[in-house]
Amino acid sequence: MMTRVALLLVALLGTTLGAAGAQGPPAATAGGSITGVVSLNLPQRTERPPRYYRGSYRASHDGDPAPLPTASVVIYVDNLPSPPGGWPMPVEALQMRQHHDRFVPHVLPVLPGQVVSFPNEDNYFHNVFSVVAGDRFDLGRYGQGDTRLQSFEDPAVVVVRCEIHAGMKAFILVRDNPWFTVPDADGRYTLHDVPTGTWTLVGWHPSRASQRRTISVRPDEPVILDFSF
Amino acid sequence: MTIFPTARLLPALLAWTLVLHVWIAGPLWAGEGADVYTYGTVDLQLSAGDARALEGNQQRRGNSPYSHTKLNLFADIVANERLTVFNHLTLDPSARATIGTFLRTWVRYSVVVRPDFDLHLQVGKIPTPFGHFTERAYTDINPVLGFPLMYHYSSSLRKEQLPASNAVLLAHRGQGTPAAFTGYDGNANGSAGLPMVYDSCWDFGGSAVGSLWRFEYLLAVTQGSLSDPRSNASDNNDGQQLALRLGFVPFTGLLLRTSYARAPYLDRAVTEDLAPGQDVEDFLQEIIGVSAEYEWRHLSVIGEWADNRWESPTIRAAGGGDQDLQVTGFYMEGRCKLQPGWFVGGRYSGLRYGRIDDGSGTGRSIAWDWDVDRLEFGTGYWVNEVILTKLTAQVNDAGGPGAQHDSILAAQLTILF
Repeated sequence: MMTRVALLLVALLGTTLGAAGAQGPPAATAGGSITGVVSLNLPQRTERPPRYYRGSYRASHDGDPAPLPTASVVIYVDNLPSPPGGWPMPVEALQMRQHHDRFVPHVLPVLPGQVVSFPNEDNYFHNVFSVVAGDRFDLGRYGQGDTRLQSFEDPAVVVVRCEIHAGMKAFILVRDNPWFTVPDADGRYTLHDVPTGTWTLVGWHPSRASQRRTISVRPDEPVILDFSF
Repeated sequence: MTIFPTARLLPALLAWTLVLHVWIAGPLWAGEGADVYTYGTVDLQLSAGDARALEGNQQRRGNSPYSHTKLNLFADIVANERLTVFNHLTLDPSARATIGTFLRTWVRYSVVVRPDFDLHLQVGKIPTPFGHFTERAYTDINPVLGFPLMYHYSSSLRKEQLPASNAVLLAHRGQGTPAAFTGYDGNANGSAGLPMVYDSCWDFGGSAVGSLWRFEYLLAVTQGSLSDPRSNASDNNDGQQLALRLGFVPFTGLLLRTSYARAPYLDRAVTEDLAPGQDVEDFLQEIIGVSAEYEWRHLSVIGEWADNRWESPTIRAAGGGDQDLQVTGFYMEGRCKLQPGWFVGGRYSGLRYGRIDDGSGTGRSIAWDWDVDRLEFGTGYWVNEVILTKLTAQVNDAGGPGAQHDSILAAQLTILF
């Protein structure tokens, strides 16, 4: 009970401070930037039927726009040594909604310790859970207008599912440094104030092999790197 | 009534044509723009216990919960937004059935699909149109290993053989299971008695299914009956089953259902034993049931009750009139998640057989089969997203003189792919 209260307080505090724009990587000295365009060539498929026979079969997202393919890509800097005391914790509360039998967003990068809320916007139960080793959680059944909070401690790819709706699946990437981003609708991405040095830049997509590139970041000399999945 | 053999075979021919077309042509459909989604489960079971208890869990044609190995393959072929072909094949090496018994193929055409209203037409070997268990019979959903008694346990009543009298039926009480049944004439012919609902074998037919606001509905017409689905398409009488199911969600978390079905259940084989003017289609299985499912946080509870009657041409009441063979089935089931991926669950189910005149002329009536009780409980743990382990214990009291409790301890490993 105390844990849930603490998480709620953290989330409320985060929401307040988040409005001040505290999200994002901390200000770094003499950092460089990385920019590029992500392109995807994913086959268009019909919606997968629910696993097994489940009686009636309503449309869950009538009229909803299809999710942006590029919103499922995360670009992040890997192998950055952590400073003494670790990276500053962003305080913005993050959210993964359950909307019309989908997790929105489908992919969410977070930092260790960050709290994510899972509001249910559908007028029936969802049951968010993950049984990935090390990041197991189960939020139980809850209905429309209700939410649950969960924090993620260890860097990992957390596969999030709904126990009731087998087709619902999302990914939470718990990263060990704050230099990550999701491309915009046009596939463009930018990482600012990346510490100078030679690092690995990773393009990640849930159903494609990760792409890893070695980059050298220098002040005032942006790295331009495109990814194609 | 005599049916020309070709007419009798026509449904089977149509059904098998459809089945073969889907399984052989399915990959070709994919090349034409359809999407084919395949998945499945492998179930491995280890069990120790009384032979009688294991026999009590056997099903006539296989797919028994304690079979050592089972493989379920699914192929959903989505031709377009409205048309989907579902295929489900169960392979159970211990089954005494042809592969066609557990090959289930049906087509769904979605007439209306909206968030507040949907209507679908289904044709083929369709899911059991009754009750609350069919969609929960899969091993990764079932909190234990076994099935509720009312969905599989064989009574001593048969479809292709008539008991000559009340006394003959009463003499065979407790002998309905596949391993125990010897037939009313004393010959062991490998068959078994009728369960209330034989959920593992789906029936050939058509249905309209959907939901509206807080209601769900299902109307089905099939060849067989709930206790004897026509798993191989060929019909064994000239009657059809009519089944209706209605559901209501008064508030999120609670689902109430009621189901009704009636169908001729006797096989043509008994025609010559009927009185002049009688047909096998005159004798019906009629079943009505209610169920409720409630979910709250980490807890889910389900209860179901059904009253079933078989009309019989040879069973007589004390006064000489017809006497139906009645049985009531019920179960209560619960599951509670203790930790992420770890749950405990249990189910208590029972069968209560109605009374018939014992034929002694004294007016005494007794239950026409032994009442059965079953308690099953256990725990399960999801190792990861695709590996589930369960450990369960089952205790049975199958009634009868000198009957003792028998039990099974079992472990199950399920792999999803």
